[in-house]
Amino acid sequence: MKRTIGLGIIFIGFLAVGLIAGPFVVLKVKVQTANIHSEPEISSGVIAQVKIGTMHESSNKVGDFYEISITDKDGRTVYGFLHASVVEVLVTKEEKVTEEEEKAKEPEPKPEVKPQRVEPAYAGFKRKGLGLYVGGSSTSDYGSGLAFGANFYFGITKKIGIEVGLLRFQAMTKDNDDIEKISKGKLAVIPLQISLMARFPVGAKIVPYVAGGAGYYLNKFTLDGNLVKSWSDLGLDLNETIDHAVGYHFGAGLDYFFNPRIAIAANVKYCRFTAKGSWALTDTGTGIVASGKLSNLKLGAIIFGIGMKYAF
Amino acid sequence: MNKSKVCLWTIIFIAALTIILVSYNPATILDEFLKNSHNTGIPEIQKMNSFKIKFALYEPGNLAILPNKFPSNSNIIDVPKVQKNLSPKIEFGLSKLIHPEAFVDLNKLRAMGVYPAIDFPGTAIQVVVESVIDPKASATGVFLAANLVRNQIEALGGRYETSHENLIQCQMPLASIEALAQGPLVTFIRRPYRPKALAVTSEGVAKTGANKWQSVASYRTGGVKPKIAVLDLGFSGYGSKLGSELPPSVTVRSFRADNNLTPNQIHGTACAEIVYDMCPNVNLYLVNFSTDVEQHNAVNWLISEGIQIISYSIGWTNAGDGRGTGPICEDVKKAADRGIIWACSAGNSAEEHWEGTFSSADGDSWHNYSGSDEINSFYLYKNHSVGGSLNWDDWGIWNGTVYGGSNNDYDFWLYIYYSGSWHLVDWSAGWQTGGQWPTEWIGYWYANFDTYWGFAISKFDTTRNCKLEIFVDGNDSLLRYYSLAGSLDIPADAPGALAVGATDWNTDVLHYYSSRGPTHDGRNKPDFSAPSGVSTASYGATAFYGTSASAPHLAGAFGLMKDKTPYSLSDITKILQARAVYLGDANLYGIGRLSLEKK
Repeated sequence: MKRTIGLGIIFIGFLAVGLIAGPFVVLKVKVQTANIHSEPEISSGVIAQVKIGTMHESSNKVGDFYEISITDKDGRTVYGFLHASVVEVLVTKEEKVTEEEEKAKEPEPKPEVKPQRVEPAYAGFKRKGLGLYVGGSSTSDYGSGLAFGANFYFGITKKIGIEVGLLRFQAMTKDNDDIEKISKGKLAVIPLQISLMARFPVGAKIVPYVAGGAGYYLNKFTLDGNLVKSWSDLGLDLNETIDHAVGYHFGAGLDYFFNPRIAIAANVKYCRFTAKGSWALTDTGTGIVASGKLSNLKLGAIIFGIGMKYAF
Repeated sequence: MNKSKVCLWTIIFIAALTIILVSYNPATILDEFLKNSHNTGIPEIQKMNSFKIKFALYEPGNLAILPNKFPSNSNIIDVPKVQKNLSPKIEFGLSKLIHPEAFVDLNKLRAMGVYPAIDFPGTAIQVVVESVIDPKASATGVFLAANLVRNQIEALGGRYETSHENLIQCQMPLASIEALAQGPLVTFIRRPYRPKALAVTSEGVAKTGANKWQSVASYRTGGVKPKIAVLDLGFSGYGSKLGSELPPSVTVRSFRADNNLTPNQIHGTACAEIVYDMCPNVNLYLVNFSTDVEQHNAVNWLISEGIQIISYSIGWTNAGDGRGTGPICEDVKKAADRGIIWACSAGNSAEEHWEGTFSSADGDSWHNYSGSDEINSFYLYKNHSVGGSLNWDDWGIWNGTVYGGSNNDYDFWLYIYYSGSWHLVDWSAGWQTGGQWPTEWIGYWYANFDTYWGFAISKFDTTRNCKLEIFVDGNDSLLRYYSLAGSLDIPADAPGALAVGATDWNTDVLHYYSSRGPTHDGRNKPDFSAPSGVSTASYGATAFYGTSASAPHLAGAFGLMKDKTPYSLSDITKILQARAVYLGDANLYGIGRLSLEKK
């Protein structure tokens, strides 16, 4: 219970920080042709150019550079950096723009080049970020339990990303006499997963995605205390272990960016791994052991979570 | 008070005390009780009562009561002329049935009130023909030879029933048996060896801790029910107990020639009830037989069915050398070699057994049990049947199929005490010329009056003084000269059998009748002891006593642990041995009283 409350506090704190964080500006190019650099350094390569009068949004300033994104001639989203000397900061998004100011802007000269469509540079397209989730798991064979985890993602492009995650979920396994299954107890699983994400942004704020990948599953199994005691009363020690295993997963999620850096994230993921294990029943009087291997424990879990993502 | 009054009161006091002491003489109590009790009901109830009485009063220290009641003069002076049977290839008892006039004076016996307890057959009798067929020979050779013998049987008017290796069981006209014996492929013709169901006598409840095991869920067994077979003589009434005292469904099969699973015998049903009480989650087989040949076939079938545990509350005498060999023990060996647990009652013959080396101090060819006493006597109520068996240590080598045989020839005699003297009733004087078993058997007889009976042994042609062994069959007799040690029934002596002695469920005291080790080759037996006395529907609210009740407890314990755990049966054997409650001498209690509880 304390653990659950603690996780809730962390979650709320993270949410509050997200709500107050992040500068957000609209830039207007004030030189005839401005270079977009690949890195926030003047010596870095020029990956594109924009014309005077074009406007761009930026939520990230690195030194004297503003990070923006444009769509190139092939339709790809290109991220880059404009030097502060070539742009004019018009307004932050939070500032209220009065009608007078709007009207005052109307006489501004039209750009000489055809304005390019400006993509909002929301965090979902950022190159890296961190997410925290809390939720539940429902294992197909062994019941349900609490799940939580964290991940780090890295956007290769606007639509493709890589995610590395660490989860923890557990299930209360059922009592059964199936020699191929785990006995009654608690199975805790910590999967270390790497996923390839395919993102399908809808506008600037909503980013659905699908993901899939592989993982290494750290398993810890604890037999039910009453079960152990019932055998102990008969003079027999009962032990079971589940080995770590390699598995795969796939799933889908949805990020909603209410702020360029902060998103509410929800996802559902199916994890599947085949583990090995062992069991042993030992007569305490004679030391005679009956033991065996569990060679084909097909463990699957559907994990659903909701949490926050922070892009940086 | 004057002196005369003191003397008078003293005399009265002493007289009263004397009357009280006399009236409380244990022998008097026993005698009166027996006289009053044995006329009171059906034979089975009498049997149970007598067991209770013996248990209550025949504790060590009280045994001295009975010898004084035996007839003092048992020296045989009227040595009868020994009448051997005509063909050494025919069992002596069978010869008597073929030519009864040559052996038994039935009219004289009837005049005394003595009768055979079995009917002399009319025209045909069930026999076993032992042939020269070598079961280890090629299958084709065995088949052809068996068919030759079978054709000969049928040509002489016989009817084939069943067979096993070199044994052919058939119905044979009495008049044709001697002709059949002359066939070159026939080595011996005998009546079938018949087992005995071990006795039901008292009450009790198991206290093995099985109930605690029953409450836990099975672990790593896959939910597979253990297969336990109750191999017995009959299962009368089993149908009405399905779903209550027995599992809802059971597998049944009769190996009797008449396929009768319920031949007026509830003994097997009661044993099955105990197995089910101990191990409720069981795949139970009820299988019966009545002869040695039928048992061989039954055991083969049980093996083919994948039976894991056999509960066997049956005992045999004269069926082996007591060293774990012989055709009945061979069945146990065959099962044990395949990992089958054979829970076997040790027998109820502790006080119905005598063994000793032949000795005739007076040189008259009659064995002297003690001093000049040549009859080993026992008391028997009227209308109770009696038989007896004699064997001696000259079996020869057991090769897995046959014994080498004996060339020491002893004979066996049954006497009855009537009008102050012993009278010959019956005898068994088969040939032992080198190939025959060293056995003689007499049975069954009864009298319409309470009296003593006795067995005598004479030597006919011997090369040495052999070690002799007597078992009394068919009643709960206490022999005047008995040998507690070595009183195991067959196949409790088999190395592959787990022999079970009987202990009182409440006190853990060994029941007086429980057969004891060692085996004739010196191995400790029984292997376990187990409670005798669980109320069963078959025997009503009274109890099921005897090692018959003990063996199914052990079989059920194996089944229960097999049902609950993934242990192998050999591991379960070791665990049960470790958990057994130590009670004392291994030849009385085995390793201890059966317990499933941790120590």
